[in-house]
Amino acid sequence: METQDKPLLADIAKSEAMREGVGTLRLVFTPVNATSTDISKFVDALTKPLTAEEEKSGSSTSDKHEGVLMTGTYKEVQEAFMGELRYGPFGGGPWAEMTDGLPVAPPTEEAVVEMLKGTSHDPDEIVNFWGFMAPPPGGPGAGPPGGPGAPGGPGEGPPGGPGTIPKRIATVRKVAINAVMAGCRPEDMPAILAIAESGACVGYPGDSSFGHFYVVSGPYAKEIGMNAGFDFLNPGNPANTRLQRACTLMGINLGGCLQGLNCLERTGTLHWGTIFAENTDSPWEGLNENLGYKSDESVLLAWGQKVQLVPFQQIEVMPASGPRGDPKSPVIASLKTLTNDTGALLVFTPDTAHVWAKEFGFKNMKQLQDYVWDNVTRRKSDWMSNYWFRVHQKAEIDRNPRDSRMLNPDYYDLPDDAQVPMFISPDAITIIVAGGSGNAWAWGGTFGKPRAISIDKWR
Amino acid sequence: MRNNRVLSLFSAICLIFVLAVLAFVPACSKPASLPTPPTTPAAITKPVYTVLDPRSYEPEVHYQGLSPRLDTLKDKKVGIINMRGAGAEIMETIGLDLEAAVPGCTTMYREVGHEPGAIEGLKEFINSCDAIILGHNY
Repeated sequence: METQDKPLLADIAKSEAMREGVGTLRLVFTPVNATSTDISKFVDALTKPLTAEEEKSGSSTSDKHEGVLMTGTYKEVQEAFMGELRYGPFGGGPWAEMTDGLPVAPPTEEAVVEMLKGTSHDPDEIVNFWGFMAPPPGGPGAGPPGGPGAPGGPGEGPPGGPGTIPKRIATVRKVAINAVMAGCRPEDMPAILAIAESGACVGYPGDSSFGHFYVVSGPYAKEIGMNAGFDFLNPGNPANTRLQRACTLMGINLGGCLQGLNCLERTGTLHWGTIFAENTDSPWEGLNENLGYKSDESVLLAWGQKVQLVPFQQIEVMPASGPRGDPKSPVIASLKTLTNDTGALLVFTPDTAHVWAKEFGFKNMKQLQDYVWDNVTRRKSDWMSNYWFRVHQKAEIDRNPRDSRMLNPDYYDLPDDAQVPMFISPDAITIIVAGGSGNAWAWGGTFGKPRAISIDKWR
Repeated sequence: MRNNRVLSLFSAICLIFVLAVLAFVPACSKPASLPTPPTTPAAITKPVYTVLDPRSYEPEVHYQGLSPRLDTLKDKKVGIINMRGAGAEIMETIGLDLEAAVPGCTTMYREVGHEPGAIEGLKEFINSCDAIILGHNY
């Protein structure tokens, strides 16, 4: 700490304390070498009488950033949004202030009014941003309205319980302003508002390479021209690219993401708002139906925190009748290499999905989820000694009922060499059909199941 | 006389010619003495945008001031809480140095990690101390 930008670090610490209702802090920065710590600074901090400022109680106020930002030429507008390039106190950067580093479309009043035509919601309707780690209202994996844990259902409530305050407050209008900047169209607004509801790309204030990953399921994807076929992970499709950029801009301007400060990932991530559509050429139900919605309802699936996806090459995907053995084996083997994940991603091209349905008898996603859950296992002793079991899984497992198709306390009673499922439950394994013709699949890990957010409710 | 008339006629023609030439001069060249017409400012010829502010805001928070300080650490118990469990040697050294610097001062050290239940008993620990040093090591 001694070698870092101490005033900036102090500002961050005090700002975070203020959010928790502590007006200020007395801070002492210590050197890396413990033997050279000046202990008198600690004595002073604990005994020196408080100043009037330190004694003060009250209410914080912040700039609401309402109305016009500035007037200027295109170049001047871009300079204003770029702002003063900022370096992080720990290194890294520089970063732009209100953009992703690229020029943005000027969000004029006229453009924003036009954008707002894409939703029936009141421009002044509040959209809260809760920060990265806070569970969303309704809980992770919240299902359709009215269901347990879903918005409108019994589990509805602010993250952290009643009285929890959001990290930042925005409105539908602010979402539209960012959508204009990202080059979006009015028809994108329902998806962008669903992304905003998910929290957008706010990053993570730790050392992990956590990301943001989205899939659109349902007829809406085709309406706005999203790509679900060849190259669905690549840039170039206008709808996918617009939505991904809106994720980033909303994370900065609405979610409060400050790269190098409150988003502090040592390497960053490959999935910063990755978004694509589910392919409808599938032998199975859509993800919307799998998650309890109707087939004609459009849903955004949102993953945060740990999210990885590794696409395989064609040569590594064996056809069912091929000479290299059971093609299910490499899928299971790949997923077993995950170490810190409570959920999984499995992306099949339409052809691969049809092969697995026809030749292996997987009639629906549920059957495949069950198969993966039963076969992607590890030794109980390895499971229980895993750091993530202790910090991330155990509390949830303790709550799960015994004798259920979830990791539950029954597994604690097994012998050390028994095999235990790696993922928290079958429905934490998400099967996605996407991609071009031919056999291919991609795999990866997540923290549990995705959160499902209705796109239709934002129309 | 005839020569004088010819001279006068010639002079008159020359005068007419000169006047005619002078009459055309303004149309052919700009006298240096005339002011330059004002040029249009660049900002007016380029499109100008009035753009809206894209940023959200932080909610209002009710905060309280710091607790009163102790007069002395002598014969007091200081709790040292390591919020992330990293840099333990620094936090433990602070306790030892504090006890050495202030006779009668005792310290108690506690780590708070990520594990479920990590904060169990923390409130009791804090209440049992006269002062707390909260360390965040990452």
